[in-house]
Amino acid sequence: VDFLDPHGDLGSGSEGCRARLKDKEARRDFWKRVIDPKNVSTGWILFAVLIFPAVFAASFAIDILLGGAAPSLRTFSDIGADPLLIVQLVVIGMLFGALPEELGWRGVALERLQSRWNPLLASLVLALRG
Amino acid sequence: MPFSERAFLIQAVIGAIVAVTLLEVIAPARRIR
Repeated sequence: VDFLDPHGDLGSGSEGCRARLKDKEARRDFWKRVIDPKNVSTGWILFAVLIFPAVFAASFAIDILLGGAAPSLRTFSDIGADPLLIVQLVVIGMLFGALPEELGWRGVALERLQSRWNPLLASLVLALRG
Repeated sequence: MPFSERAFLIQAVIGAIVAVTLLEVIAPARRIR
């Protein structure tokens, strides 16, 4: 797959990303999808926000039911002791981790991969290559 | 340790089930791209 070559890494401002965004219409479509909240229904936004805490909670609950120890809440007490930590986590995590990743992978690469493979295979290729 | 290896494993299994369900069942049925 040309846009997944080693010289055009995907994360932030890759060759593939740039090539894709050279086209004016593609660029407009891309940014519209980035900022337009109407693309996603409230239900899916709630799902996206809640699925990780739900999976975490379910796994802890099952582990405790099987005799495991409850998880320590040290991270929460650390954040409580120093609330600036959460700003640090969000800013660093979002700006340098999740945001460029989503723009490059979800916004550009996955679309192309899905034109070739089904969603599961496309995601696996992206996960293994990324 | 914040949580056990088993909790981690259970998390991976549930995560995989959720991901495969979304990608193989829900996404194609709803034509999500």
